[in-house]
Amino acid sequence: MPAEIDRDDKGRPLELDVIVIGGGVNGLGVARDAALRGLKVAVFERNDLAFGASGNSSGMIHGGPRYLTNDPSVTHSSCLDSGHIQRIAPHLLFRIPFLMPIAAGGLRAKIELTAVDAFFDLYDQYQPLKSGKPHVRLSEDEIRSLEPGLSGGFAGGVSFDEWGIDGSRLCVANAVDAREHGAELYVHCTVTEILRRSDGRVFGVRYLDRSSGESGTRTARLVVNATGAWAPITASLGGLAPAAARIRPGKGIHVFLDRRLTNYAIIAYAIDGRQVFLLPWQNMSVLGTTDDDYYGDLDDVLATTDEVSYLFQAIAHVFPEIHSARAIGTWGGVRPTLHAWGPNEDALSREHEVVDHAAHGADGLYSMIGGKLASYRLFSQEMTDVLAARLGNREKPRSHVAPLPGGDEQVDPMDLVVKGGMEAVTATRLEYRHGGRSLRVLERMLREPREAAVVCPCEPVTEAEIRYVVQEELATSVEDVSRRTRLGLGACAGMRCALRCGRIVADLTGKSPEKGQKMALEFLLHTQRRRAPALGPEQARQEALALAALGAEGFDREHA
Amino acid sequence: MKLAIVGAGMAGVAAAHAAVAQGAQVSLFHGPAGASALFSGALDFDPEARSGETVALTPELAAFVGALGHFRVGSAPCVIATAQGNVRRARGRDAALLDLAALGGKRVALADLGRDDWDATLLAKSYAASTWAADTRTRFEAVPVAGLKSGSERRIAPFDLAALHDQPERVDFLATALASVRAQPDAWLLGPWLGIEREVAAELAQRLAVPVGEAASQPGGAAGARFELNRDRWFAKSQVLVRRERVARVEARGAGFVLQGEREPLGEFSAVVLAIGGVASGGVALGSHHGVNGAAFHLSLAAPVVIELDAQIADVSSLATIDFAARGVGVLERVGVRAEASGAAYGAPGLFVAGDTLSARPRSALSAASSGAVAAHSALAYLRAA
Repeated sequence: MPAEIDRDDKGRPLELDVIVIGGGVNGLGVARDAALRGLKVAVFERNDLAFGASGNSSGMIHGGPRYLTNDPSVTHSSCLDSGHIQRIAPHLLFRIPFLMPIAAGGLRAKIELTAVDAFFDLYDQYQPLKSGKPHVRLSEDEIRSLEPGLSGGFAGGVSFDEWGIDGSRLCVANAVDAREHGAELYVHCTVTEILRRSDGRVFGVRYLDRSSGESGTRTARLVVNATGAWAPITASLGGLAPAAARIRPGKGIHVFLDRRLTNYAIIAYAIDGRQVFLLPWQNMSVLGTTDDDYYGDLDDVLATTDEVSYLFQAIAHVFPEIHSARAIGTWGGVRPTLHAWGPNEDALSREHEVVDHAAHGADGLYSMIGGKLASYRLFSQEMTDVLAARLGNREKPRSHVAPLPGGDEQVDPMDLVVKGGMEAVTATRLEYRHGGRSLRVLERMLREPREAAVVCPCEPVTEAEIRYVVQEELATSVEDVSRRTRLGLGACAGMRCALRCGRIVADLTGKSPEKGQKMALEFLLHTQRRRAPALGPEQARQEALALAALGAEGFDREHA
Repeated sequence: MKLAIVGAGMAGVAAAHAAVAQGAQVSLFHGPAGASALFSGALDFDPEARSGETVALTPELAAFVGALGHFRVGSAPCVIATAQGNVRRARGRDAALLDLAALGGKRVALADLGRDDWDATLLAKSYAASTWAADTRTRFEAVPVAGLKSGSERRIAPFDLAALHDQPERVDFLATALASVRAQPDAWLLGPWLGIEREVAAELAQRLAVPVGEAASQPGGAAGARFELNRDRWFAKSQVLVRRERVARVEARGAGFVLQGEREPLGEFSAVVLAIGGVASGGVALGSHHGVNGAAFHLSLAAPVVIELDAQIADVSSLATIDFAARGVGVLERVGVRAEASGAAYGAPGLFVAGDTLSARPRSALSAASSGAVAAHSALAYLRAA
């Protein structure tokens, strides 16, 4: 190893091998991969794990059929990696069959159907890599019997197979595994400066702990900027021009509805010809997505009513019942798309690349630009390969074979029902989120029966799980708990559970009950802002009720 | 000279009470449950001033409170514990709620039945951390009580558990369970489970010889059901002609109004008081197309009224035009019918508005009742003048 990368600006030795800035799926993927190879790593996340695009994506580990015509090697690697993710975290993936109806329209529609059918014949070759099933060509009658809610005439259609995932859980699993392999995680700690020597070399970061207000310094041989859409801002913390880590931020919003409306994910075309979809996702439906250049605050990405209307309009074209369905919220994220001037947002590449800032005079600093949830592991491995080579580490990459926490042990939810007295749905959801580690939550309940209490009946979430994610998964607020468990995201919007969850979190973190109430209210107000654009008639009523309950306690006046 | 009242929540019933007390002939129409049926059990006038509210009840409001029978409004504020974990003053309460005012400095036990909706340990901690508890040196502690008969009772709705306690043998069972606790406290605080039809809190207090009562509940607890029950008991004794029929339209005809039900006309009236609730009750509804065609607020029945928000009519043409961030979280609660202080609906002589149906009014039980009485008086004055 070259000696010069081992010293700070005063010639002192460095504490760590790698500092990763950004607690999204790419940053945590690198931290995990590097920790598995025995490197000493620390991660800094300004907000919570999965706060940005990772926790606000469409929640898919897809095989990349869109690349099939231009670049089949991308489809091959996407499918291969989807298979890897499935093996290391089988509990987190769930099958989403897609339905792509082709509207009737004479010969042209028939040709289109034949072309689509042929296209998916090609995609079928890659499906075995990710345990996907081959596509099926469907007649109009078959489509109608599969999804009676579809309207209009069809020339036919195809169904094909993809995988869904909870992006926040994927991030948390990577974070926990990284920590168990020695990585240090600094959550809610924002990097305020990337430290550089007089020769330009990067040797660490100065950070501010946003919860305590204290600041500190950590030094390392290499620093990775894995901050997604924040990448240009992060680069500027090291004195680089933001353009050194240029991206083209693309805002994508999703609307979620209170139940699974369809058996299949439905693909439809929006007014501008873009493809949008309605996904049955976990215990709800997700409608997405938009793609628009974004210029706003990255810490506060909100869906607008216009964006919601655009998605509803598109799906209503083939699935009119959407108008009587109940939208209960939105989420918004910003894609860190590779920068290009000129192309329409949808036409931008979803590829990823590693930028070595040695070219900008900042040796030792790398930026991860672009990428998508489905390729996080591959991108992380590519980044870690660069780091390992630079640090002279010869360990074999293991992130595609070593199971993520909970992925190493199969648990039958019915066992949880029998042993813990949980209701079946509670057990199923718990097992989905934690895989084999749901047994650790079960142990808590057996030790302390009061922890079996269902705190959030919508999801549902038990007190034991809340305590587990606070103690084992770095949650420090109601919002953090919600990101890890989906507490408070159901139809009642946390009205019944947020304050109770606040009391539990406060109790565990040594804060006053008042602080617990405060963080519950922050969550409720924040949730409300994300729900407002999706409000339909029924939901507006629920919302007013929820707020009336808060109002009766005088909270709205203190916090409005 | 006939008066119609639409709605049987706190505002509508108070309006009916005030009107029949004046000897008026009153017909009251109401649909299914609204916000009053989800009432927490706390009685306030002005939620903003609740820290030391001592507003005297008008004799009329005192008579209304007395007529319902199960409310307690003394000359001084009471002190209640809430499901949200606070201890606060209130002007009055449902009789089943524990009044902590006289328990300062004492030891209050939270009966921990192991219910999912009653986190006794952490609630006790939260109450103990309140300013009131600190000032009065009152202790709160969770005490395990074997008060449930089966595991499933752990998760049934609080309302259902309250209804179970209407059975005498269940009151015995709970009293025995509470009495078997070795170190008896100075008072017992329970969740909102103490009966709908029977005064279970009072029975338990008598058996245990210490105060026993509930905490104020989240929406949907027993207090709302008790309100409906006592309201219906009063209706049965009163001169009010009550019809359980949803009003679909209020049509101006000549000098009066015709009320149209969903199937048939409900009659002709010279004046109408609308007390059908706000957005929370569904009395004020929202158009159905996610803003695509301009989702406007409207009353759930057709009536010649103007809907507004914060005195601005244009702002509620569509949800998209409401800035929730700037207007605060309670914005939907302030949408309602534009009316004068007398309750007279703007631009519709003979039509009066009360309770949550009014725009921009605080939502509290006593203020709703008070606005109901005001609207009734205004309506009667209108009828006399006509």
